Amino acid sequence: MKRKTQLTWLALAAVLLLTALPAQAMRYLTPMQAQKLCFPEADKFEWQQRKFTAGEAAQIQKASGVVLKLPGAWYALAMKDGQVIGAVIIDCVKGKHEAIDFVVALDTAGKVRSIEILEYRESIGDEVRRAGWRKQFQAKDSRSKIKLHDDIANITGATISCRNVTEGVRRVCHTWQLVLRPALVSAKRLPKLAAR
Amino acid sequence: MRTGLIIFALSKSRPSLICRKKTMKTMKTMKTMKTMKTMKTMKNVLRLTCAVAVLAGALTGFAQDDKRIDALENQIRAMQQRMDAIKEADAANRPPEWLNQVYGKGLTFNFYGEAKYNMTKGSDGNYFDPHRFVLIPGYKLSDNAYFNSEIEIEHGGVDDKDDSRFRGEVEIEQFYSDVKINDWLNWRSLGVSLIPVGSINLHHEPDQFYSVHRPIMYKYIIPSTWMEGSMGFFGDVPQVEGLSWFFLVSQGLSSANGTIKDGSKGVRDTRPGLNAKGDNRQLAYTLRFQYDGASSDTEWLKGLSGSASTYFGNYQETTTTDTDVYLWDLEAKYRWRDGFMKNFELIGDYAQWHFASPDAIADANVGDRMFGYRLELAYHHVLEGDQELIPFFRLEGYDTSEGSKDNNAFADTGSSNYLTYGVYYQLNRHMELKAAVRQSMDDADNTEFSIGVGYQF
Repeated sequence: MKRKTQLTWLALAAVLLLTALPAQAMRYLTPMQAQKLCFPEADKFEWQQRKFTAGEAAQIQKASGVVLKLPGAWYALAMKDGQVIGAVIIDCVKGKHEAIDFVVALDTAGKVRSIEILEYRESIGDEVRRAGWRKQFQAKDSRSKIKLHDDIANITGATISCRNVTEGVRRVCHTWQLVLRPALVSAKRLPKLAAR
Repeated sequence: MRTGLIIFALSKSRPSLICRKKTMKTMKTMKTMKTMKTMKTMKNVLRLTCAVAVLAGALTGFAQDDKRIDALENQIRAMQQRMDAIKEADAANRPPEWLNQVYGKGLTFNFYGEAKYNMTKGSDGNYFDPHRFVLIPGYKLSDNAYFNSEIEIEHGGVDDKDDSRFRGEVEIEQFYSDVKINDWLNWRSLGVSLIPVGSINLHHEPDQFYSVHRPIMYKYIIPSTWMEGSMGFFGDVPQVEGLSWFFLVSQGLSSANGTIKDGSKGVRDTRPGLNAKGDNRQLAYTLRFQYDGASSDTEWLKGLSGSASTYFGNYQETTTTDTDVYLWDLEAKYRWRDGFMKNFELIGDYAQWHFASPDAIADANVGDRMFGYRLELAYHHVLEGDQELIPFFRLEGYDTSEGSKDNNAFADTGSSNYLTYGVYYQLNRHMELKAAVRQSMDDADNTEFSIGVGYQF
C-alpha cells in the first residue's frame, strides 16, 4: 500500500507542477497564419466575403448533400505575381458540442491542397487535427466522394468530428465550384475550366 | 493666402523709391533732351519695365508654389488611398459577424437514449424498458479547458415511494473538466470519469454497438457503465501519430455494496458508492493505449483501430483478507475500405480479471480469473444519405468461474456463451432502430429477442 500512496502523491505533485506550466489554447491557428501555411509561395492574400443568394445556397446544398449553415463564404485569394493561384476558404462545423473552425486550401481548379484546423474547442475528438488524417483530403475536389468510411477513414472515438469535418470539406469544394470560381471567371481573374 | 497678398500688392504697385531717384538723375543728365513728351515716354517705359520685372518675378514664385502644392496634394491623396486600402483590408481580414453566429455558445446540451422491448424465455417474460435517458451538459471554460458531464436517468427514473412505478436510477455518469497543457498532455480534473478500459465503456452511445444490448462482456466483466471518482492525464504519444495514452487514478473496488461473485454478477456489485465514506476501497490505477490507423500513410492500416488497457487495484472482502486485482483488455477493429470485403467490419475484444489471492474471495465458485470476449462481423450496407442497414453476427460470452483457488475449495461452474445476431438500421446520424436475438448456447431460458430505438444528438 505504501507504493500506492507514493504514486498518489506523485500524481498530485505532477498536477501542481503542470498547472504552473503555460497551457496551450485550443485555438491553433489564426486565418492569417493558416493562409501562409497553405500557400507559402503566395506574395499577397486578398480577403473577400460573399453572401449566398437563396439559389446559390440551394445549389450548394443539393450538390454536396450537406446542410448549409453559413449564409456566405469568407475566403482569401492567394496571389502570386498578380495571378490568383488558389483560395483559402474558412468554414465551421459542429463537433460533439462545440464548433470546429477550419480552412480548406484549394488550387484554382478546385482540388484540395490542404486543410487546417483553426480552433477545436472540446477535449474529445480533436484527433481530427492529426496531420495524417487531414492528408487524406489532398487532391480531392467536388467530383470526389469525400465520405467517411469510404474515401476518408474514420478515427474511432472521434467519429462525430471526423464525419462533420469531412462533410464540411465536401461543402467547401462544391461552394468553390458552384459559386466562388464562376464569380472569379466572370471577373476575368480565372480562366474557364475545360469541360469535365 | 500668401499668393493672394502678393497679387494684391502687384495690382497696386507704383514705381519704387529707387526707380524715382534714378528717373530724376536721368532727367538731369538728359537736359539736352528737348521735350517733356519724350521724358514722359521714358517714364512710362521705365514704369512698364519695373512692372514687368516684378510681375515676372511674382509669376515665377507662383509657378514654384503651385508645383509644391500639387506635390502635397498628390501626397495627401496617396496617403488617403493607402489608409482606405488598409481599412478595407482590415475589414476583410476580420471574420464576418455571421461566421460566429452559426453555432451557439455557452452551455451546450446533448443527449443520448435507448428504449427497448425485450421478449425473454425466462422468468422476466416480455417487458418494456426505457433503459437510458442521458443529458450531456458541456461548457467551454476557457481557451484550454472544457467541462463535460452526463446525467443519466435509467429504467424510467426514481420515486421516493416504495411502491412507486419508477424503480430506476438517476446517476451522475461523468463530471469533470479537461485542461489542455499541450498535445501530448491533458489533465482530467478530479471528478467522475469513465474507467478507460474497453471501447464500449468509453463510448457507449447506442450507435457504438449494433445489438440492442451492449455486448455482454460489458455487463459482467467490464461493468459498463463503469465510472468512478477519479483524476488523470491523457494525450497523444509524441512522434507516433495515431497512438494515444490515458492514465487514471480512481477509487477502487469495494465490498460495501456487494462482493465479487460467480454468475450474473461478476465484479459488478463491487463498484463503490461515489460518495461512500469509511468503506474498504483503495485507489486503483488504469493505463490505456489506443491506436488508430486512419492517420497512417499505409493504406491497409487506415481501417484498423485497437487498444490495450490495464486496471490495477486492491479488493478487500473481509477485514482480514484482501487481494490485488488486475484487469486487462485487448481489442481490435478492422473495417475494409475496398475490394470484395469493402464495408465489412470485424471486431475482436477480450478482457480478463486476475485475482492475485483468490482465497480472499468468499464465493467458492470464483477462482483466480474471470474473462469475457466478443468476436463480431458486421456488414455496412450504405443506403441513401446517412442511412445504413447493418446486419451483424457476434459470438460472445463470459466466465466468472475460471482458474483455481490457492487453498480453498473451488468449483468451476463453466461459462456463458451466446450467439447474438440481428439488424441495425440507421435512419440518420441521430436515430437508429435495432432488432436482435441473443441466443444462449448453454441455457435456452437465457435466450431473448429485443427491439430497440436509439438516439444521439
